[in-house]
Amino acid sequence: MTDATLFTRVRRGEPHSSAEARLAQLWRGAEMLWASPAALTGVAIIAALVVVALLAPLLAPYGPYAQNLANQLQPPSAEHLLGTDEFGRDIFSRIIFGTRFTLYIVMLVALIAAPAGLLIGASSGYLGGWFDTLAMRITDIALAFPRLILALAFVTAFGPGLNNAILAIALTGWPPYVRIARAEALTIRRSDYIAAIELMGASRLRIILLHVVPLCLPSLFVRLTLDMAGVILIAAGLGFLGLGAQPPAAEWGVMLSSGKEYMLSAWWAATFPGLAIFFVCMGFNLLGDGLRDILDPRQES
Amino acid sequence: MTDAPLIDIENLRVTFRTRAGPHEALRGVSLRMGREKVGVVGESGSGKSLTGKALLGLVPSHAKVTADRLAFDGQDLMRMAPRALRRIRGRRIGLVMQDPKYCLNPVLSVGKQLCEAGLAGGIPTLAKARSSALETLRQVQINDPERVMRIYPHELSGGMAQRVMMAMMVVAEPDLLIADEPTSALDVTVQLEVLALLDRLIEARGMGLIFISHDLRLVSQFCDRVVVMYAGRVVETLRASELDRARHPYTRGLMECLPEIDHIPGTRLKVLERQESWLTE
Amino acid sequence: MIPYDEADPVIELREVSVRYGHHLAVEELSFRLRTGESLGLVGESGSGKSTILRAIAGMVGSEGSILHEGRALGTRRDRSFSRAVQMVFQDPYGSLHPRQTIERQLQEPLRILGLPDRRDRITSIMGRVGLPASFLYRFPHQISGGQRQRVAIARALLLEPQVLLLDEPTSALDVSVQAEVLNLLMELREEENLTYLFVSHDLAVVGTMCDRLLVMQHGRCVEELSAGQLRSGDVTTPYARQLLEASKGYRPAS
Repeated sequence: MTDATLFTRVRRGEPHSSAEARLAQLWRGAEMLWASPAALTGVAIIAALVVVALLAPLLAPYGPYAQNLANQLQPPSAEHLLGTDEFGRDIFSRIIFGTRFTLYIVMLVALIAAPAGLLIGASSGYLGGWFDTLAMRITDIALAFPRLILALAFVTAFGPGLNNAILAIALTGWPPYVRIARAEALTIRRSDYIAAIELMGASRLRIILLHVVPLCLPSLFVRLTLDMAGVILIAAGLGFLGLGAQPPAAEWGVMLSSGKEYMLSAWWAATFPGLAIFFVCMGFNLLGDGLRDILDPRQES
Repeated sequence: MTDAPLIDIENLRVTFRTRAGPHEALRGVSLRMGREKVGVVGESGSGKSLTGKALLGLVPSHAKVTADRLAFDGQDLMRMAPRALRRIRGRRIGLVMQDPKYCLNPVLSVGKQLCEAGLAGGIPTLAKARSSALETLRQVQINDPERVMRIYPHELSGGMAQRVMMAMMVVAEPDLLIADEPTSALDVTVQLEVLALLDRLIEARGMGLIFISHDLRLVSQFCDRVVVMYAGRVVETLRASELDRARHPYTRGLMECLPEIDHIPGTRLKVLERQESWLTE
Repeated sequence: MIPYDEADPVIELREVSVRYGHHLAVEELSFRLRTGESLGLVGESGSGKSTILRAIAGMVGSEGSILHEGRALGTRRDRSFSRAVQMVFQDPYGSLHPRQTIERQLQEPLRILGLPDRRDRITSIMGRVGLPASFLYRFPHQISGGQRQRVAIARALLLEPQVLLLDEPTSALDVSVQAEVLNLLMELREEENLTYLFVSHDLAVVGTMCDRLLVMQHGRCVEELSAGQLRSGDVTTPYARQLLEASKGYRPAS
C-alpha cells in the first residue's frame, strides 16, 4: 500500500479505515475552503495571527517595552516601520507582541464560555422539563443586559486587569451558546437515530455527550468564530477605557487609548493598532462564514 | 388538437457541475406529446422530475441545459425571453407537486391564492377570478367552496390540500398540466379519489398531462402512454395498455419486483438485476 | 378484541391506549405477538400503527399494560428488553447519525451494552445484510437509501434480538430496492428465527411479509386477517374491503 494509493482513496472518499474516513472529511473541507476565496482569506489572517504570536520575539525588531525617549512619536520610517509612540517604543514591535494578548483573550473566552454554554444548552434541549425551564429563564435574564455594559459592571466589581476583563467577557458571552445548542438539541432529540440509541439502552449522559453534543458543535463553532470579532472589540474597548489590560502592556486597545492623545500630531500611534484590530476581526468573520458552509455534511450531493 | 404537438422535446440534456466533474443528469431525452395523458416513470435519480422542471425552466442555475428542440405548442422555449417564458409558465402550463403543504402559502387564505392564480393566468377582473375559483373548487369536488375559500392551508387535510392545489393549477385554464408524484404523499384510498378527479378535470378541459411517478402500475392504469426512464435516458415508450409487452429488461424488472396481494408470505420477490449496458446503450 | 391462542406470546398488549394531548392515537388495543410469527399492522396515516411500535419500544407513554414474555413493562425499558427487542425505522436518512462513520454507529450498541469481540461481529453482520466491509468507513450521506436501511437493519441485529419492530422499513425506497430489502428481511427471519411486528400502509407488502395482519383505523383494530384470507379477498369489514380495493390500483370510471 503506497502513499499514492492512500492519497487517491482519501481524495475520492473511498477510505479503508476510520482514520482514512476522517482524513477524507478533512480533505473535503480543505477542498471547499480552497474554493472559497473569502474563507481562505479568513484562514490566512488567523493563521498569520497565530504564527506571529508564536514567533513574536523573532519577528519584532525591538522589544515591546524598550523605551527611547529621544525618539518620541517618530513617523514611519525604514528604522521604525510603523513609527514610534510617546515613549519612543517601536509600534510595529508592539503590534507584533500584541497578537499574544489577542490570542490569549480569544482562546480563554472561547474555552470558558463555549463549553459551558454547549453543555447547558444541549442538556436543556435534550432533557426538557424543569431543567430546560430553569436554564432558559436564567439565559433570558442574562440576555436582557447589554453585553458591554454588563462586562463593564463585572470588571468594576472584580477590579481592572486583563484576566478580570477576560472573565467578565466570558461571563457575559455564554447565553447565545446555550440558545444555539438548545435549538440544535431540540431537533436532534426528535430524530430517529436518537430513538434508536435510546432503544439500545444508552444512558442520558451518554446520549448527551456522545450524540447530541457532537451534532451541536458545527453551529456552535460558526457562532463562536463569528463572535470572536466582538470579543476582540470588547477586550480592546475595555483596554481603551482602562479597565482591561493595563499600560504599559502591548495590548492593542491600550495602544489605541494612549495613541488617541496624539491623534492629530502623530496619526500612526492610534491608526496602526486600530487597523490590526480591524483585520483580525475581519479574519474571524470571514472564517466563520466559510466554516458555516464547510461544516454542513448534508450539503454534499 | 393543433398541428404542432403540445410538447416537442428532442435530445434534452442537463449537466450539473460537481466537485467530481460534470454530471449528466439528463442524457438526451426526447418526447413528443399532444393533448393526452403521458406517464413518466423511473426510480429516484432517473431524471423524471428534472424533465418536468426543464420544461418549466425551473432547473437550478448552475446546471447547463441543452436541447436540439424544446418546444411548447410550436414555440421554442429555449430561445424565449424570460418574460415570455414566465407568461407561458403561469398561463399555459400548470405544475402539481408531491406535497401540497409546501406549495400553498401558509399566511394567505385559500380563496386569495386561487384568485391570485387566476389573475396571474390572465383572468381580467377579481370578480371573474373569484367566480371561476369557486367553480373550479366545485369541480374538484369540494362541497362548500365558499367556506374553503375563507380558510387557511393548515386547516386543510392532505387530500383537500391536494385538491386545492389542483384547483389552483387549473383555474387559469392551462393547456398542459405537469403532475410530479401528485398522490404519493396521500393515503391509498384518498389517492384514488384525487386521481379520479384529475382524470375528470383533464377530460373536461381537454388538457395534456405529464404524470411523473415512481409507480409503474399506477401510471399504466391512469395514462394513455408510458415513458420509462433510467439514469437520465428514456429506455422505452409504450402504450399503457401494452405494458405487458414491454421489451426492455428494466421495465420488466420494475413490474416484476412489485409485491402482489396474492403473494405467499415468505416466498422471495424478484429482484431487478441492473446491467451496465443500460447506462451506455 | 383479543385474538386468542395457546402459544406463548413474546409481546402482549392489553387494552393499551396512547394519548397525544387530547387526541387518542391508540384506543384500548389488545393483541398478542407469538414467538416466531410475523404480524402485520396495516392502516393509513393516523391509524395509530406506528404509535403502537413506539409505545412498545417505550418511546411514548401509554396506558394499559404491555407485556414482554409475560412480564409487564414499566415506563423505562431495561437492558434485557433492549437485547430482545429492536426497531428499524421508516426514514433511512433520519435513523443514522449523520456525522459518524458506519463502523462507529455499529460499535455503539456493543459499547452501550459492554459486549466484547466487536470487530469480527461487525464485519460479519455487514456481510449478513449484504454490504461490503469497505462501507464501514463511509458516512451515511455517502451511501444510498437502500444501503442505509441495510445498515439500520444490521445495527438492530447486532444485539441478536428475538423481535424486530419494523416501522414502514421500505416505504421511503424505490420499488426495486424495496424488493431487495424485503427479501433480506425474509431471509434473516428464517435464519435467525426472528419475530416481526411489521407496520406498513401497503397491503401488498404486508401480504408478502406477514402470516397474520391487523387492519387498523383511527387507533383501533377493525379486522384481523390471515395471509390466506387476504389472498382470497375474504374480508368482512367495509374498511378492509376499501383498502383491498385501493391496493389494486386505479380503475378509470368510464
